[in-house]
Amino acid sequence: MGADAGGLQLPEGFAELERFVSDWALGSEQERNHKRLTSSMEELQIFYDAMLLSMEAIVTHLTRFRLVDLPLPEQRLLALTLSLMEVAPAVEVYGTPDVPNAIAASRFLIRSP
Amino acid sequence: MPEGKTSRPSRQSSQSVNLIPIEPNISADYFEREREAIFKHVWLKVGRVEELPRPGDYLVRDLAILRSSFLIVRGEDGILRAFHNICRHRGNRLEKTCLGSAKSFFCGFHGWTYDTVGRLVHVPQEQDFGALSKEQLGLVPVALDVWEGFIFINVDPTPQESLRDYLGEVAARVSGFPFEQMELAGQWTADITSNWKTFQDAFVEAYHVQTVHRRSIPDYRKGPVKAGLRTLGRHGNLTFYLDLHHEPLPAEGWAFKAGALAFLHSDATTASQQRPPGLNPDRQANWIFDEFLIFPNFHLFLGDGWVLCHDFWPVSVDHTDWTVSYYLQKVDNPAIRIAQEYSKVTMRDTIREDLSTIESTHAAHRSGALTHMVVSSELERLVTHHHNVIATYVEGEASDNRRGA
Repeated sequence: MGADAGGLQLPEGFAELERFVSDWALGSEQERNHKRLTSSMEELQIFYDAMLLSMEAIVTHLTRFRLVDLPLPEQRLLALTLSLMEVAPAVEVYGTPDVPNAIAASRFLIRSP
Repeated sequence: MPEGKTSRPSRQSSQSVNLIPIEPNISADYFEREREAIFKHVWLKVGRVEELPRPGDYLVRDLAILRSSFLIVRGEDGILRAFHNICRHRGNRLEKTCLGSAKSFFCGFHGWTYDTVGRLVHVPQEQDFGALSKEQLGLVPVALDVWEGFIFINVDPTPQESLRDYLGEVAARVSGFPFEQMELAGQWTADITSNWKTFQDAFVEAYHVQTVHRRSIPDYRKGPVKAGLRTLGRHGNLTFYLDLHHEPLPAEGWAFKAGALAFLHSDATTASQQRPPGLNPDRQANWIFDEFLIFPNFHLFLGDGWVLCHDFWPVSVDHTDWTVSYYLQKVDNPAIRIAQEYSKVTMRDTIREDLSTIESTHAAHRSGALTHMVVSSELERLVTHHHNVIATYVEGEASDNRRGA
């Protein structure tokens, strides 16, 4: 997903989230989950906190669009919010990147539809 | 099984307790009896019609429990059929890929070719077979039928019942669910070192929720788990309720705000759409989902705007292949998509929590230290019921009156 001519990858007004795009604007559940599992809790917390602060503005912005013809900058913004939902249980519930006591994540295969 | 002993659950009359024999969960001999008595004679769910929308679309399912590979194909006439994936020449596996679209199927051994309705249409050097009756050498058909878009097959050469009769009351309870509005949103698979029955037992009662899911579903600390349990012939049904006792977590709060399609919702009686009769049958405000346990190995969860399917495929007495498919209502609004993602991730992580007990239970069963599980006739009646139905298939009707509930 390349950046536009101005170097911005997200819609205008979300400059504070640009730094997360390369790590977290991921297109599949498997990629987002892998990123969650291979991040430290500190990294997850930083991303989580920054995203929560922007959620009001993000939802207001994205609601103006339809999924079927979402422009690229909005696609990346949506991908960031999907990553927020992916990391939320780690931060809010478990305190660890992965679900504790479950079978090893490598045995639980996440397939793309 | 030792002579004279039954695998059937029994009831202790003075208590609300059933005893379920453990031997069937660890016996390779019993597994073979299940293969013969059950899996060769029932309707088995193998896919969804959306996987093969166009003529020529096919998928291949290798089912270890039947030691068979099946080719499921939508013919050029638009009709779905199932065949054994075997060339009629010398019995080689015909189609080697698992999914695709084709005008014909070509055996890589000698080039015998079949069309999409299973007819043998080409034999290289046919003259060297004399007057070969190609019309009698089509692919071996397997009974196939479709219910609510789910594709079922039955390898019994003369199936005992139609699919609709087999499903019985489940069909009536689910009728009207908008499956056509759903699309596959996630799919998770694992090979699990457990007997298939032990694995399935973990998902047919709500009693484990307050322990296994104490982190992801903390609300049960305030009171007992509530679930409605009913048997529907061979099948089962679990109606799940949840009283929310916690403040929504931040991400959860966004899911509630953004969409009506979250895993949990505030008042299930104010349904914005008509529900099938079997969903929230008692019209409770705190209803979350209804789970249908379709014998022998298919669990179907239905909620508002989501569907979850568990497929449990026995491979051996100690090993089960498992696939979970999660379907969500197609939406246009990105904000609702965010809420859906929260629902999917939390559902997935909750299921991962279930995996903390299954392999360890099976491993402990293998010790032989216990001969029976001691279960509640009320809270765990669907566990007993599943083992009971299996015992009926494997051993025939009970000859004594020591039945489980």
